Amino acid sequence: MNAHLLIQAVVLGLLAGGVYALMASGLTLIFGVMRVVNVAHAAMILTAAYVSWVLFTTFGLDPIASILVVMPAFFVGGALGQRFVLRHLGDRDMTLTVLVSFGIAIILEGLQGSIWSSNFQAINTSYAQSSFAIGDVYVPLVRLIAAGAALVVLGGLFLLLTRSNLGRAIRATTQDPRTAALVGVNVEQVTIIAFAIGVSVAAAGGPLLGVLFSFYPATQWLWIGKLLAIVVLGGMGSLRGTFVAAMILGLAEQIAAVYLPLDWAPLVFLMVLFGVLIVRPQGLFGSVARESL
Amino acid sequence: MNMRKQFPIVALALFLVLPVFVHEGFYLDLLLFTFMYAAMSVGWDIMGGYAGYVSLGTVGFFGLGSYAAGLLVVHAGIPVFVSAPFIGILTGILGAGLGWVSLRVRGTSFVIVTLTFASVAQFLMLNLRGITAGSSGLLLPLLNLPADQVILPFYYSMLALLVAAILVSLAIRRSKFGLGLIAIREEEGKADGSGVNTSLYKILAFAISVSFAGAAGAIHAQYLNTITPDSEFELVITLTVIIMALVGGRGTVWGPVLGAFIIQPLSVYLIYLAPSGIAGQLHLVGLGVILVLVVMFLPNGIIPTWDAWRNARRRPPKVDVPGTTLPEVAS
Amino acid sequence: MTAAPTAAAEVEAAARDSSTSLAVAGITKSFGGIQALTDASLSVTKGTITALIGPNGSGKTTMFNCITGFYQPEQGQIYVSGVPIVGKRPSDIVHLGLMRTFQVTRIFRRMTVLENMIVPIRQLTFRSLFTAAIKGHEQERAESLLEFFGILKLRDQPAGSLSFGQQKLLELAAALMADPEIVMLDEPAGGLNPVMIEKVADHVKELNARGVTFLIIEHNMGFVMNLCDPIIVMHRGTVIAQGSPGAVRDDPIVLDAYLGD
Repeated sequence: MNAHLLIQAVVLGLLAGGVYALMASGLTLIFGVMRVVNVAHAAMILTAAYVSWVLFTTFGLDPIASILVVMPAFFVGGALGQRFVLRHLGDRDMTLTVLVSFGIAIILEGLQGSIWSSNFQAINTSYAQSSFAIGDVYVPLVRLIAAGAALVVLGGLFLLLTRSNLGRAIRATTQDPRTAALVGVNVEQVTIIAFAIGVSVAAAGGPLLGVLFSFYPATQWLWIGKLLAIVVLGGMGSLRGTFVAAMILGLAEQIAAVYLPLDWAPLVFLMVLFGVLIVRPQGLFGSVARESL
Repeated sequence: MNMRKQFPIVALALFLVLPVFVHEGFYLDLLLFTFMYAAMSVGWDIMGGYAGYVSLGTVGFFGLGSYAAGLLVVHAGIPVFVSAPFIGILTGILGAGLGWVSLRVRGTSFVIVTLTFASVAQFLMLNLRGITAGSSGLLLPLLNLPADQVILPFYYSMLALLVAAILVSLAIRRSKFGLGLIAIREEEGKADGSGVNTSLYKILAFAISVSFAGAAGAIHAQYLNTITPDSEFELVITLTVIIMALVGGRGTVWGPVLGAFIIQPLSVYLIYLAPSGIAGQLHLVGLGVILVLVVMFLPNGIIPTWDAWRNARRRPPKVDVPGTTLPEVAS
Repeated sequence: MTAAPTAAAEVEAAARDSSTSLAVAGITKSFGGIQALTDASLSVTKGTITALIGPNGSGKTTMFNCITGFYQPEQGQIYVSGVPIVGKRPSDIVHLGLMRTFQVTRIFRRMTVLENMIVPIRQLTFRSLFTAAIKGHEQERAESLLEFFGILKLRDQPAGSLSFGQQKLLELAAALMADPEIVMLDEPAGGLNPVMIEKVADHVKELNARGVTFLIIEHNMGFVMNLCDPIIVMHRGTVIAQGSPGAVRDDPIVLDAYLGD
C-alpha cells in the first residue's frame, strides 16, 4: 500500500468533499422544510453549470465569479417556482410534488440538450491545468479554489441558519411545522424562502462542477445518485450531517479510486446508500422517522 | 355498465385479427409499443396507483430484463419468447429485494432507491464490458422469419403481456390484498393498525409491479436486435410509463391502458414533428411539460375525474341516522 | 378501599395469567426533551371495561400508542394476552387480538363504508389475501356489525361523507371486524351528543357481555363512572391510582392531580 498515493487520495477526497457538501446542502435543506426529495436538484446544478459555461465562453467571466450571478438568479427562480407551482401541490400529496420535480428535471435536461447539445462540456479556465506541490502531494489549483469557494458559500449558509432570525425560523419549521406555526413562524413564507435558498446554493455548485468535471445533460442522474447518498448518509434535513457525509464519501471515492478502476467510483456512493438504508435509515444525524399517526 | 365490460373484449378481438388486414410495419410497430407501455404502466400503477408509492426506477428493471434475455439468447440459445415469463419472475424477485431495502420504513426511501437503482443498473451494464460488451452493444441473432412476418411474434407477445397485466391488476383490485394496498395509500398508519402488514404488502405489490417491466424488456431486446445501455435504460421510458398512468387515471385498472393509447401516438408524433438534430431533446421537454401539467391540473387522471363528474350529477340521497345531529363532514 | 397503582414488578409477574388481557410493566417514553411516560405500569383484567383517565398531558394517548406498537418505549415491556410486544409492528399486535380507535377518527375516507369494514385482518393467510374482498362470510359479518351500530344504510357511501358521529360508529364497527379480544377506545364520547353517547355506552356493554375486554380513554366522567370498573388514573406520565370508581373518586391523590394542574 503506497502511503503517498493514500495521502494524495485523502487530500483530493477532502477537496472534493467540500464541493459535494455544497451541492448536497441545498437538497437536504429543501427536504428539511418540504419533506420532499428534490429530484431535479442535480438538473438545477447542471443548468447553473451551463449558464456559467455560457458566461465564460461569451464574456470570459471566471466561473468562480459567476457564482455571484447564478445564485441570485436561481434564488428568484426558485422562489417563483415554489410560490406558483409547488406550493399548490404540497397540500395534496407528497408524491405529486416528487412527480413535478421529476418532470422539471426532465424538462431541464431536454432544454439543456436542445440549446447546448448533448456533447461533453467542461469549463476550462486558464488555471485548470496548474497544480502545486506540497511535499509529495500534488494539489490541483482548480480543486483548491473550488473547495475554497464551496466553503465560503457553505459558511455563509451556516451563519444564516444559526445566527439569523430567518435561520431560526427555518430550523423550527424543519423540526416541526405545526409547533413552529404556533410560536409565530409564517411557515408558508419560510418554506418559499428556504426552497429558494436551497436552489440558490445548488446553483452555486454549478460553476464548480463545471470546472472540476466534464458534464452533459444526462449526467444529472449520476449526480443525483451521489447527492442522495450523501444526504441519506448524513441524515435528511441535517446540514451538519450532509457536510460530514460529503467528506466521508469524498474520501471514500478517492481512496476507492486508488484500488479500483476509475469507472467504478460511483458504485461506492450507491453501496453506501443501500447500506445506510438497511442498517440505519435515519443516517448519521437524522432523527428516527417520525411516526405520523 | 355493460358497455364498459364489453368494450375491452371487443377491442381485444380487434387487435387479435388486425395483422390479417393491416400489414404496414409502422402501425403494427406503433401498436406493439403501445401494448408494451400499457403493460408496464398497468404494472407501475399497482404500486404507484393502488399503494400510492411512486417508483422512478421502471427502466432499471426493463433494461435488466432486456440484457438478461439478450444474454440468454446469445450464450444459451434460449429465445426471448420462452425466457420472458421467467425473466419477469426473476425481476419480481429483484423488486422484492429492493423493496425490502426501501419499504420497511415509510417515506422517501422508496423514491430514492428506485431512482438510484435505475442509474446503478445502467452503470453496471455499461461497465461490465466483459459480459455485456458495454456501450458497443449486445447483438442478438435475427429471427428466422420472412420479412413481412417477423413483426408478428412481437406484436402478439406484447399483446399477451398486456392482457396478463390487466388480468393481474383486475384480480388484485378486487381482492383483499388490493383493498389493503388502497388502505395503505389512504392512511398507512391506520392500515397497519387494522392488521395490514404494510411492509409485506408493499414489497409484494412492488415485486408484481416490476415483473411486467422485466418481461417487456426481454421481448424488446429481441425486437431491437442490438441493445446498448443507452437504448435499454433510457429514462424517457420511466417517464412515459408514469405519464400514461397519470393521464389515464392512477389507481384504476384501465386508466394506464387508456393513457397508453393516448400518449404513445402523441409521443411518436412529437418526435416526428421535432427538428431532427434535437428531436430527442425536445421530446424530453414535451413529455416533461405534459407530466407537470397533468400533475398540476388533472392529478387524478381521466377515468377517475370522469367517474367523479358523473357521480356528482346523480348524488345519492343523504341517509339520516337518528342521534347523529352534528353537521356533515365535508367529503 | 384504596386506589393503589400496581408496580412494574407485580405487573410483570401477573402478565401471563390467563385473566390478564393486557399488562404494561414500567414503560418509559420520551420525545426530544420531553418525558411523556415514566415507569408507567398498569394491567387490564380480562372481561372488564377499564377506564384510563387523567388530566391533559398525563400520557394517556402515548400509553395507547406504545401498547399498539406505534411508539417503541425506551424501557419496560408490554404484554398482550401474555405475549411481549415491544418492538412488534402494529399489525402484528392486531393479530394478537388487540384493536384500537383514534381520538380523531381515522377512517379510509375515499373507500365506502363497507370497504372500510373489510380492511381489518385478524390473521394473514394466503387465501385471505387473494380471494375477492367483498363476499361471503366477511360481507355478512360486516353488514351485521353495521346493523348493530345502526349504520347499515350507509354501506355504499364514501366514508368521508359521513357525519362525525357516524364516522365514530364506523371506526368502532371496523375495529370489531377483526374479532378482537381487547378493544382500546380513545375518547369514544368526544364530540358526540348525549343520545349518541348513550348509544355507544350501550354497545360497549353489550359487546362486553359477549366477552370483549375494553380499555377506554375518556374525559367524560359521567360516561366513565357509569360504564367502567376499574378506573386507572394517570398523571404526568405515570399511573397514580387504580381501583373502583368509588375508590378513585375519593382518592385525594387523584383529586390533587386534577385540581392541582
